[in-house]
Amino acid sequence: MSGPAGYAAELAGRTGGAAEDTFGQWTVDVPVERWAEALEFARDEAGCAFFDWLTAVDEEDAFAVVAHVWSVPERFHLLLRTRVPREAPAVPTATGVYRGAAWHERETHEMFGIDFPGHPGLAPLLLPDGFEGHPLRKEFVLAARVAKAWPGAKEPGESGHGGPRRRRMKPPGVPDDWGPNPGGR
Amino acid sequence: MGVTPLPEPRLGPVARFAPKPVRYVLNWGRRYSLWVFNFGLACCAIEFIATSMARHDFIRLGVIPFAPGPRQADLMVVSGTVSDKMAPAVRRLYEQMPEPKYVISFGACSNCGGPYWDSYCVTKGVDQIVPVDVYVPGCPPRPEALLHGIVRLQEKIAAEALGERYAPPRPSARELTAPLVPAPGRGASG
Amino acid sequence: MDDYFGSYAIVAVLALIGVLLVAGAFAASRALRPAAPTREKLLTYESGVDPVGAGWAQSYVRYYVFAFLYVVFAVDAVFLFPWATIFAAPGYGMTTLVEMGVFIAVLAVGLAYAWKKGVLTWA
Repeated sequence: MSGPAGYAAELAGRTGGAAEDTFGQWTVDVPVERWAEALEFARDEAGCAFFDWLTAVDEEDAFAVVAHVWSVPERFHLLLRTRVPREAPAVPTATGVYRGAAWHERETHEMFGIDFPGHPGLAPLLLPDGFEGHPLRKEFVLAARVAKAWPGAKEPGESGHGGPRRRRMKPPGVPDDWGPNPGGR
Repeated sequence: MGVTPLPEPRLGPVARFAPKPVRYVLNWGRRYSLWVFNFGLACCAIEFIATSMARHDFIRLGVIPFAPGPRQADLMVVSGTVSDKMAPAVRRLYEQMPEPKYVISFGACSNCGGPYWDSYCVTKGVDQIVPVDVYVPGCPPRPEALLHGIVRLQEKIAAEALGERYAPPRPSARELTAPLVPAPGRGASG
Repeated sequence: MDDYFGSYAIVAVLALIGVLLVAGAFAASRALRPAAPTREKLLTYESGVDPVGAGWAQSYVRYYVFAFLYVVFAVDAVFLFPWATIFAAPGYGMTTLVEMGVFIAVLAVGLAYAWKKGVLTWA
């Protein structure tokens, strides 16, 4: 077992997940119960001692929490990914394995609302005090785009004279009673 | 809470009643000795630093760079994206500058939010928080654009009368209580 | 007697001119400047955020070495200069020289203490 492909396959086998080659680096999907175990494998046995980042992706039906680690001696990346449902999302904390994940988990928590049980202190990191909502979720309404439509071209070739004249539509995901012209316009 | 009220803004008598030649000299001194407090927030700060360095030096316009803090500055150049978390600090530091003070908004982000106008945490223009004298557009503006902005600010200061800013002529009580729209005359048509 | 008061009068006039210069500068500034105090302007500067903590901080007594080294050298210089201008004049003999030698020996003891403490070498 050596090299990223081997480590990825071994990890997938041990945790009951799946490994795939995504654009030249190996991604291992692990079930959320085996998350800490997978990170320990990556750090101890695969030699990926360098923790790069941890973040989440809002896929329509679930959140995917992704961690990127790098092996300094053997020089390869490894992406570890787990999926949690959208209601009450919780992923065990990575701080037990990689101390540097503390701030990444704080940011992921405030941007997506994902809980990390075991984290020493999930205080907001980047957002201003009193900010309501989780901005990077898909249902978070981007207020500026509702108040003012995107001024540029949406399709290639539209710049200069705008798109075809169509009814001004709200950006996707905005409820009907929202914005300066409520009532479905 | 027993807070003592602060005095009204005032201007020293010599400056207020100065005749035009004296005012010209005072404005000349003020506009060619600006001390700049660089509020560098993002990429425009790099362009500001480039303007202060050897090739496009703005010290030759009299603008002496890098005042140690707001208390020793009279020009604040807001360069870069103002995020909602930083906005109170920008306001506080503007307040802590001594009078008379000027603000240059440098770059698209501090003019109007720039390329990040639709973000959830960007203040769309620093003029939502502080009054701006000169806007320098660009993303980022060239150093020559900042030099041009400083020259425009100097022209603005040359034409300035401080008395209008700090001791404006106040309307009389009669003007303040007069009705805005005069009542229609008797017998007039429409 | 006249000469005696004359030289002090010169010092007094110089001091008065110094005071007048400073007062004049402040008065000119007062006459020219705008003043618009606001609550935030009068707050303590702390990089744009609300200031925390008290204004007083503790100094460390271990920096006394710098204070007494300053005294050694500055007092040394202050007394050496006028002494150097007059010690060779007639009427000031060996006594003057020995006196200054004793003074410098006392200061040298202080310097030796600093040397022994190791503050005269780079860390």
